[in-house]
Amino acid sequence: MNLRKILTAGLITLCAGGCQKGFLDLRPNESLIVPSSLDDFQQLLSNETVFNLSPAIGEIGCDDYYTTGANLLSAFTPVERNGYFWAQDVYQGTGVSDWDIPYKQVFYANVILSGLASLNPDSLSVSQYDQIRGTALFDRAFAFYNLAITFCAPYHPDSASSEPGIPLRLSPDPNLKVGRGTLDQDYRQVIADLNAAIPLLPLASPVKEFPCRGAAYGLLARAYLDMQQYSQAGNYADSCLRLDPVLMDYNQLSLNSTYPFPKYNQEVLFESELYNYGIFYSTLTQVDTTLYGSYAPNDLRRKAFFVIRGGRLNFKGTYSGVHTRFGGIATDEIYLIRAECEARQGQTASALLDLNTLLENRYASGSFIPDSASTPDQALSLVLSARRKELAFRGLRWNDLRRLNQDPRFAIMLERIVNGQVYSLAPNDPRYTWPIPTDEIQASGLAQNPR
Amino acid sequence: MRSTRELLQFHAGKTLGIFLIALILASAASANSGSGADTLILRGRILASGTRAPLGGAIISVSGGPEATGSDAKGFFRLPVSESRGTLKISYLGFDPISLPFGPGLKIPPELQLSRSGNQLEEVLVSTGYQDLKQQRATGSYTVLDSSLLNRVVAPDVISRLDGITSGLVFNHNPGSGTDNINIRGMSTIFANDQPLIVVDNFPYSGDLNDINPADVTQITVLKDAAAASIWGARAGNGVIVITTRKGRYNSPMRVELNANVTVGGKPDLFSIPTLSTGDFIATEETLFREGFFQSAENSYDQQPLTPVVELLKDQANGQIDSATASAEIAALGKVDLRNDLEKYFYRPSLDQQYSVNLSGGSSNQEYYLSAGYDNNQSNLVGNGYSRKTLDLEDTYTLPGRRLRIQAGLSYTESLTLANNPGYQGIYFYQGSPIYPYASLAGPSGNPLPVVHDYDFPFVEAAPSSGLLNWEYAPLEELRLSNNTIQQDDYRIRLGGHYQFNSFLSAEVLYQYEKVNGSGKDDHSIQTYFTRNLINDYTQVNPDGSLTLPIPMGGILDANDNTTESQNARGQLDFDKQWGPHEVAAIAGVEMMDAESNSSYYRNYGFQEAYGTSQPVDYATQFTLYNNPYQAQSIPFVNSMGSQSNRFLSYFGNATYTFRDRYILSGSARKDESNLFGVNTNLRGVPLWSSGASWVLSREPFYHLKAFPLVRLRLTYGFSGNLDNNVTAYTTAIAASQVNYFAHAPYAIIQNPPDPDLRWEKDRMTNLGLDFASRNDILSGSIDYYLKNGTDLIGFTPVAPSTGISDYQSNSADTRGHGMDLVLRSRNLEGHLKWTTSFLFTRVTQWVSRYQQQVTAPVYVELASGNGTIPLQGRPVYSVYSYRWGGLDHNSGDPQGYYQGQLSKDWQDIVNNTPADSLVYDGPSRPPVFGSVLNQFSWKGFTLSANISFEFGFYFRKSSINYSTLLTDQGGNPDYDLRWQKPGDEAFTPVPSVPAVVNPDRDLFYLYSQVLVEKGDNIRFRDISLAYDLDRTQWKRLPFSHIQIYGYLNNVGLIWKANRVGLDPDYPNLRPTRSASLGIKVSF
Repeated sequence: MNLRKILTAGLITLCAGGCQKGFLDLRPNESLIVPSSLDDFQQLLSNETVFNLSPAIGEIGCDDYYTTGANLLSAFTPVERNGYFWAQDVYQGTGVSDWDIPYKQVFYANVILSGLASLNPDSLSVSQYDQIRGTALFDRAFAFYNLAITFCAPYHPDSASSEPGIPLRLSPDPNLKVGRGTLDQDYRQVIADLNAAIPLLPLASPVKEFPCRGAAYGLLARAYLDMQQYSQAGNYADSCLRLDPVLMDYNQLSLNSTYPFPKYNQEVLFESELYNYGIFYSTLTQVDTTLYGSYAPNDLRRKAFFVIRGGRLNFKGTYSGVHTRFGGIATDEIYLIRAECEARQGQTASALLDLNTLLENRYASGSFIPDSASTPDQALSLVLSARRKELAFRGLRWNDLRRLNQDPRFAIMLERIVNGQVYSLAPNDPRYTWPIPTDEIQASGLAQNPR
Repeated sequence: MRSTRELLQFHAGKTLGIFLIALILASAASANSGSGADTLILRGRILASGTRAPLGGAIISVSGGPEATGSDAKGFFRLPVSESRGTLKISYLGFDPISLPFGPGLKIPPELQLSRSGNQLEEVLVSTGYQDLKQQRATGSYTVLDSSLLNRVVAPDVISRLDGITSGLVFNHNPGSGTDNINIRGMSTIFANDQPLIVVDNFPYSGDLNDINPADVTQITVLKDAAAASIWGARAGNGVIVITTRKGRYNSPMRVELNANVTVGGKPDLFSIPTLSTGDFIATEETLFREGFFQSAENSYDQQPLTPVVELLKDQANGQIDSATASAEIAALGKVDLRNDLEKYFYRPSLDQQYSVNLSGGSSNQEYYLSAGYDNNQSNLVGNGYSRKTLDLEDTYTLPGRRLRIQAGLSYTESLTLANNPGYQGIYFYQGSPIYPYASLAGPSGNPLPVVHDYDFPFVEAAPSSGLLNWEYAPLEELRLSNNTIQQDDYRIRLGGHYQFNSFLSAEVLYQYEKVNGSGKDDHSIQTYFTRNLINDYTQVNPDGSLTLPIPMGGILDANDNTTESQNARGQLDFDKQWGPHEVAAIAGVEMMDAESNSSYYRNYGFQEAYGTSQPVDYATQFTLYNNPYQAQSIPFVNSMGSQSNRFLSYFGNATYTFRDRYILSGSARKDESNLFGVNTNLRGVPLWSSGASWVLSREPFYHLKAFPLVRLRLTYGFSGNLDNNVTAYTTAIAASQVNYFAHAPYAIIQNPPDPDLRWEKDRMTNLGLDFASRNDILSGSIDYYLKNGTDLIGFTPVAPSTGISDYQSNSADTRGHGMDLVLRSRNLEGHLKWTTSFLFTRVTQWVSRYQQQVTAPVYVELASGNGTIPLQGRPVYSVYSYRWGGLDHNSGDPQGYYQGQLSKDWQDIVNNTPADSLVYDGPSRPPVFGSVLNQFSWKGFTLSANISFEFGFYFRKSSINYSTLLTDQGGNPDYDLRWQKPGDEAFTPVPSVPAVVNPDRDLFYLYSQVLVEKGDNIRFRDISLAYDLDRTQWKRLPFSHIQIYGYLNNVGLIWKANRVGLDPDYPNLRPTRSASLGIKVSF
C-alpha cells in the first residue's frame, strides 16, 4: 500500500515537472510579440501614427493665419488657445503632444536600434537590416531635430554650445536619467545619425513613409541652414537634388478639386503630417491676408492651396493629399535651400536658376516671367519671399521666423488681436522658444526655458 | 507554432495515462487482496431520540470508505462493508451525526437514536473545490449558502442571488458600465482583475455564468480569508466562490421535481431621469439663435443638421415663413415630450419565464441526476430578450469491490440574446449629442416618424431626387428593422475517477473540457438607416452626373464569432485518518489549466440574405463623401481577429490536524506557474501559503457555560495572489489587427517598456474569528475580524514623457485594510408560528498605502467618482473627490472656489492646477459598511420572509446643469430652473447663473465641487418572499409527494436615504423597476 502511494505521488511530480517547459512557453496573446526579428522591427517602423507625425505648436504661433477671438476662447485646448497669442503660461499643466510625439519616435527608434545591435544579419537579410537601421537612425534624427527647433533657443553659432538642448536619449531604458546638454550637441547628434543613415538608406523608397537617401540629405541641409553653415547646407541640398530633382508642374493639377495634390506625389521625399490641432481646421481659421495677397493672380498656388468657403479664406491642404497639414520633406524646399545658400555665398546666377526652375512650375503656362536680380542680396530677398509663399502651412514658418529674425534685414514683428486686445511678439523674443512641458519638468527635473 | 490543444492533449494525456495505469495496477492489486475477504453486513434502525419517530433518508456511511446507504422510510438500513473494522457514520439533516466503531467484538446496536442538533453550523460541509470540509474542522472563514436560501430569490442567474444574503460580499452598481461587479472583503488589487474566482464543481469556470441554471445549484461556498482561499493560490486574491451543482443519491428511489415561475417587471420610469423641460430647451434654442450660435452649422459645408425649432427660426429670419406661423409651430413642438413616445413604443413591462425539471436517484452502486431547464425573458426594452435551454447530466458509478468510483457529467446550454433596442440613450441627434426633447417618434396611428439626425433636413429630403436612397432616420422604424442576435452554446464534459486504497487513503483524477461558442450577427438590411446612410454617403457623382456606388446596394452584415475552449485536469491524493484522539485530513495534488479563446469580427457589404452572398468593396481608395466634398475617407474596414491563451500549472497541498476534537491546526501551500508573458522564469511561479488554528473552547472539560454550548475561536494567516497579464518583463509589442491607414502595411505598437523585476501581486490576510451558539440555537453566529494588505500591486509609476512612454506600470503600489464580518441568527419564536432572523453586518476599511503617481485634479474628480481607478495615496481606490466650494457670487451668481487658499473665480486654475492633496476628499464611493436583515416567519405550511439591506458611509455625486452643453444646444438638467437669477438667490441655491460666454472650466468647477456630493447611506427593502408548502404526509390525497407555491416581490423600494435630493444612491440615473414573481414547485 505504502509503495503504491509513493509511486503514484512520484509519478505525479515527475509528470508535472516534465510538462512544465513547453506548456508554459505559449504566448498568452498571439498578436503579442517581443520585438526581436527584422520583421518585428519592420512592423514597428511601419507604425505611421508614431513615425509620420511632426510637432505643430510652432504652426500655432506662426503668422500664416489668424482666427477670431470669440471662437478661440471656447473651442480649443489650452495649447491652441494660449499658443495663438504666445501667452506666458501656454500649457496650463496639460501634457504637450509636440513633446511626446517626437520622444515616442525616439523610444521606438531606440528599441529598434538596440535590438538590431544583437542581431547578426546574414547575406540574405543584410539589405533589410541596413534599411531598418538607416530608417531608425533617420527617424531619431528627425525627432531630435524637431524637438530642438521647438523647445530650444534658435541656433546661433556663437551661443549654441552654451544654450541648453533637449535630452538626447540613445537607449530605450526608461530608468536612464538624461539631462538637457547643449543645443550644439543636439545638432551634432542629428548630423551624426543622418550621416550614419545615408549609406544604409535606399536611393528611392517604395513607400514614402520610409525615408530615402535624398530625405536624409534634405534633413542635413535643413540642419546646416539653421546652423548658418551655408556651404554645407548647399552641398547637402545639392546631393539631395542630384538624386531627386523632380518638381511637379502645377498646370497638370486639377486646381479646383478639394485636394489637388496626390498623397505621396513626386516631390515628397519623406511623408510626415503635422499633429492635428483643431484650430487648423476650423472654418473660422483664415489665411493671413498679406500672405494671400503676395501670390500673383497667375500664380497657380492661389487656387491649389486656398479656397473661399462661405466668404472665408481657408487653407485647403497641400502635399499630404488630405486636409491634414504636410510636415515632411519635399524637393521644392530643397530647391529653396540650395538657392538661399547660393545667394548667401554670392552665386547670384545659380540662385536665380534654382529659383526660376521652381517657380516656372508654379505659374500658369506661358505666363511666367523669370525673376532677375543683379546682386546676391537682391537674389536672397527674392529667394526668401519665394520661400514664404512656397512653404506656407508646412510647419516651417515658425523656424524660419526664429532663424531670419536674427538678421535685422529680415526681422519682423508679429501681432495678434484677441477680443480687441493686441498682443505682439518682437524678433528674438524668448517666447520664440516654447516651454518644456510641466509633466516633463515634474518627472525629470529639467531646467525650464526662460520666458 | 504548436497549437495549444495539441500541447495540452499531449500533456494531459500523459498525466491521465499515467494515472490510469497507476489506478489499474492499484485496483488489480486490491482486487486480489480484497476478493478473498468476507463481506460484513451492517444492519440497524434509525430513530429520533425522544419521539422515537423513524428517520427515513438518513445517510449511513463508513468513515473514509466508499460504502454508503440511506435508511428506508421506516428507518431501517443495510450496508455491506468491505473492511472488517471501521467507523460507521450516521447523519440526518437537523440532527447531530453520530459515529460508531465496528469490528470483531464491536456490534452495532439494533436501534440508533439521533438527537436534534443544537447547532446548525455544526453539520455544514464547506466545499473548497478540492475537498469537502466539515465547517467544524475548518479554520478558515467560509460563508455557506444552501439551496433554500438561494432559491428564496427568483432570478435567472446564480450570482445575482448572492446579493444581500452573503456576509462580506458586496455588489457594486456601476451606473457607468451598467454591469455590477462583486467584491469580497473589499479590493485586493488596483488595476488587475478584481473579480472573485468562480469555481463550478472543482474547476474554475471559464464560460458565461449566465449559462448555469440556478435550479441545478445545491450549494454555494464563499471562501473569504487566506486559509480558505489560498488553496486557489495566485487566483484567489479576490476571494473564491465555489458553486456546487446537484448530484444523485445512492439508494434512493427516483425523485422528480418540477419548477415553474413567471416574473413580471414594470417599465422603467423615464421621467425620473433628470431632464431639462422641453420649454426650457426651446427657450435656450431661441436665445442661442438670436446670438448667432447656429450660424456655423447653417453655413457648414458638411450639411450639419439643425433642430426643427432652429430650422423654423431660420425660415422666419429668412422671411420664408411669417412669425405667427413660426410661433404657432414652435408652441406645438413645446407640447411634445419625447419620453411619452419612448415609454409607449420603446418600453414595455418585462416578462420572465423559468421552467425546470429534474430527475434524481440512485441504486447501491450508482447515483444520477438529470435536469433540463428553459428560460425565456422578455426584456422591458421592446425587441430585446434572452432565452436559454440547459441540460445537465451527472452520474456516479461505483465498481464492484467498492474501491473505484467513476463519475461522468455533461452540461449543455444554448442561449439566444436579442439586442435590438439600445434604449433611450441610443437615440441621438448629431455626433453623440442627445436628441431634442420635442422629437416625435410616431404619428397618431403609430406610424414611425423621421427625426433630424446626421444631416440638415432639407439636404436629407433632397436626396431621393438626386438619385440617392431615402436618407431619413426614423428611430421607431429602425427598432422594427433591427436584427441583432447573439447565439451561444456552451458544453462541459466532466470525467473523474476516485480510487480508495484503504480506509484512509484515496486518489482522485478529474478532467473537464469546456467549449463555448458564441456568434453574433447584426444584420443591417438595405432598409436600415445604417446601411442607407453608408451607401448614400459614399456615393460618387461622376462628371456626367451619373452615380457610382462604392458600397454596393444590399445589406451590411456585421458578424462576430467567439470561441473559448478550456481544459482542466487534476490529480490528487486524499488522506483521512482518525486514530485515538488524532484526526488528519490532507490532500496534495497537481493541476493543469488551459483556456484558449479566439475571436473574429467581420463585415460583409452588399449582403443578400436570400442568397447568403456578399460583394467585394474597394477598401484602399479614399472616396469623397457625399455630405462633405472636403472630406475623403476609405470604406470602413472593421474586420479583426484575436486570440488569447491562459495556462496554469499548479501544485497544491492542504492538511488539517485535529486533536481531541477541539484543537485544530491547518496549513496549505500552493505554487502557481503560468504562461504570463515574458516574466523571468524565476518570477513566473509564485509560492503562496497559509496556516490556521482553531480551538473549540466549548469542548474543553473545564467549560461549563450551559447557555452557550458552542464557542470556537479561529485564527488564520496567509497569502493569496493576483495577476495582471497586461504587464510583462520584456519590451513587448502588439501587432495591430489591421493594416496601417495609408501605406496598407502591417504594423506593430509597442505595448510595454521592459520591467525585468515584475512580480505577481500578493495579498496578505490575517483573520480572527469566533463562532458561537446558544442553547437550542436561540442565538448563534460568528464574528470575524481581519487585516488585509496588498503588496507589490501593479500601479502606474511617474515617468518623464521624454522616455517616450506614456504609461509605465510596475509593482509599485500597496494597499492596507481591515474589516469585520458579523453574522447573527436568532430563533425568536418556536412552536406553530416560527420566527427567525438573520443579521449580516460587514465593515471594510481600505486605503492605498503606497502610490507614487499623482496626476492633475480633473482626473481625480472625474474618474475616481466610480468608474475610474486613479488612486491617491492614503485614500480608498474608489473615492469621491471634489473642489472646495465657496458659494455663489452675490453680484453675478458665478460659482466660487478656492485657489491657493484664497476665494477665487479663476476656474481655469482651480480646475486644472489644484494640487491633488488640496482637493476635498468626500469619502469612499463604495460602501464601507453594509449588511442586511432577513426575517422569516413560518406558520403551518406558510413561509414569509423579507430582506432589508443597508449601506452606510459612502458618497456619490449628483448631476446638475452643465452650461457648456446647454449653451451648445445639447440639452441640460432641471437644476436650470433653480439657477441664480438675481442677487440674493445665492442664499437659496447653489446653481450658478447662466454665463455670458460658454466657459467649460466654470462648469467643470461647479459640477465637480463639494456642493453636489451627497451621502449615499440608505436602507432598502430588497424583497419579500411568500411560500406555501404541502407534503403528502400532511395530506394523503396529494398527487405529489411535495408541492410548493411561491411568490416573490423584488426591489420593493428604498425605506430611508440620507441624501436631500431624492435620489437612489445606487441608481442615481434610472431607478430599478419593481418585479413580482409567482411560481410552483412539485416533486414526485
